[in-house]
Amino acid sequence: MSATTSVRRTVRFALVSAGAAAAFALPGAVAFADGPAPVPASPSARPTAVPSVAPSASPTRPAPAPTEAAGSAQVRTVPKGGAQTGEAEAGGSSTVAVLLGTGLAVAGAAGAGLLVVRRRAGARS
Amino acid sequence: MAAGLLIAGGATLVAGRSPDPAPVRIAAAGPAGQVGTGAPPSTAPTGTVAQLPLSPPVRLLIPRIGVDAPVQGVGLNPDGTVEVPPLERPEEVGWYREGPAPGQVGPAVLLGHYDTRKGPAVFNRLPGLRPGDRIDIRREDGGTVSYQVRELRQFAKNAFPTELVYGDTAGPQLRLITCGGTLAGNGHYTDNIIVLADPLPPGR
Repeated sequence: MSATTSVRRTVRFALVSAGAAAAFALPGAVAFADGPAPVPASPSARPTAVPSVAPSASPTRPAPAPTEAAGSAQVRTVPKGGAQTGEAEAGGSSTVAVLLGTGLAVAGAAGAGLLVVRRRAGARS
Repeated sequence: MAAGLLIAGGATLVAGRSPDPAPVRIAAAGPAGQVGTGAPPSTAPTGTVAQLPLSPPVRLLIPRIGVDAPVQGVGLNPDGTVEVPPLERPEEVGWYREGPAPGQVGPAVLLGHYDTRKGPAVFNRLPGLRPGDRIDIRREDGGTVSYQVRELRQFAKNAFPTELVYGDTAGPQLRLITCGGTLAGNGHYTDNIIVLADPLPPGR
């Protein structure tokens, strides 16, 4: 056996061993890529990236707009509608006059009724 | 005697019946001023007037209609409408403190009653203002800001021009607000009268 032959055997043995090792390793690798099992490695990386970016990005982006608009407005809070700046004068004096007039008219009517009753009573007797 | 009482009562009733007050209308509108709604707001002059630092107004003077009145800050009512000075102090003017003070950039808004049950109030003669009339406002810091009436506008309260009154402006502006129109069933007037005024340069 020459030295060359010995080297070839060694290389062949190494290649066969490597092939056998690859044959054992490959199914695991394939299963790792598309099977449902790969819980340990990839799930922890992928799902956390997606949700953590999406929710945090969408609320924080629109928030500055209203804040800026409110802060930059010259009138900080705009009132609703118009202003109640009047209620008309002279309600009091006319109310007094109406009450007084009503009182006088009632007294007058009562007096007139009393007169009629007395006259009728006088006519009978 | 009884007939006399009846006649006296009837006469008193007739005399005591208060006639409906005449509608309150603005006397003179400005260049674009008019009664009603939908009119585009007139534009303020674009001249440069220096802005003053914040200092609350303390007194309002309008020489042509004899106004010389104290000013107090007002805010918002719980329903979101603007507060007005208390009816017990009809001579008082309210400054809407959620907006700029007179002299600052933006619409400074002052409100006053047209009248109360006791009689005419501080802004009773406001509808008689005319374009060009002078308005002076004394500030807490001792300074005075002067304005000149540009125009008067009248709007139904249910069509109040919020943007015209409270919207942003390029420079200092003044709005005076009181009541107008006719007396509604709720005891309040139907309209608001709004005076728009531009600042006068210092020293004028």
